[in-house]
Amino acid sequence: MGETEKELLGRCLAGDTAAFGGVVDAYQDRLYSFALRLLKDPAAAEEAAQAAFVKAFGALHSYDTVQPFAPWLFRIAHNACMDALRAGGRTVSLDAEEFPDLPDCARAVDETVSDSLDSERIETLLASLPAIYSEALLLQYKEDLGPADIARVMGVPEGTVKARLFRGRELIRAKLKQAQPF
Amino acid sequence: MDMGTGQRDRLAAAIAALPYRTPTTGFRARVMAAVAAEAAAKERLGWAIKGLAGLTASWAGLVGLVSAGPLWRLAADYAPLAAEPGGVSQLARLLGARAALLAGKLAAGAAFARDLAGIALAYLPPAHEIALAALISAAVIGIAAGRRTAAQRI
Repeated sequence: MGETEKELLGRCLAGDTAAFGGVVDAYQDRLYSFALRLLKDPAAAEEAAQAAFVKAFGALHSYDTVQPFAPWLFRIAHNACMDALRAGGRTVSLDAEEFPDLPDCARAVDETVSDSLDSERIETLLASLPAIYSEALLLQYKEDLGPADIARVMGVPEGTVKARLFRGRELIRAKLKQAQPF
Repeated sequence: MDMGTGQRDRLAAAIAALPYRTPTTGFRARVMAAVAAEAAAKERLGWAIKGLAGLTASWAGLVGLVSAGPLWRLAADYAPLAAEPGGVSQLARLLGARAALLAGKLAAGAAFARDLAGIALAYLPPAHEIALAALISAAVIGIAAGRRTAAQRI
């Protein structure tokens, strides 16, 4: 975006609704991808991302402009995803036609595993993890957030985040070892 | 039993390299429409609150205006009494009696209003209820303002 994030947010806070379009442009892929990888359902992910943007707009006055914006927005997206997971029903859809972007998890067991972690493999591995681990890993490595920010996003103590990151990595390591037993 | 540093770095790099997915066409428009609806709803609520506050202020102003005269007359009636020897205690007794009288009237008025509201809510259509509420409000203000001087009433 041409304007800086701060300028855009300033305009939003001043009541310029159209300026929020810049925020949506900047974050829609990030928020949608985050929600998609947690919910594993494109429709539910779009719904959660939309709900997160609308809630963020409604709560913008409570955002502390001194703090970074991304963790605040991801916190709202996290809550929207948790609501969607709790609501259940349409959280998992791995049918190839309905969900062509992500590979079929079942293939990972059968196919020959090479040493490299290509994006298809890592996508599969993350999708096979419980949401609490994949979320922590995604926030740290994909969104480049530190444990303190991840703790704020997930609403858990920093120690819990570190434990989840460790456990998530261990689970991936175990899955890789299982698929490549030599 | 942590992953080796090399493997962990490869994992970090692999996750970082994951592509962002793009939502379907029209997602942005839908979000902005929802945001605009939210903003409009907020604005409507703001206007409703302002309207309510204005109405309340108008009523308060009206009550103040209507009761200013009687209050001034009341003060004028009692001021000479307070100036007399032992007048303060007499004034206190008089004011106590007036307060008790007013409390009794208010209690009776509230009971009457409650009964009336019960009947109105049970049988009247909303428009009639509003009209009745307006009449009752006007009557209450009229009673509170009074037309007689304090001396006449005591």
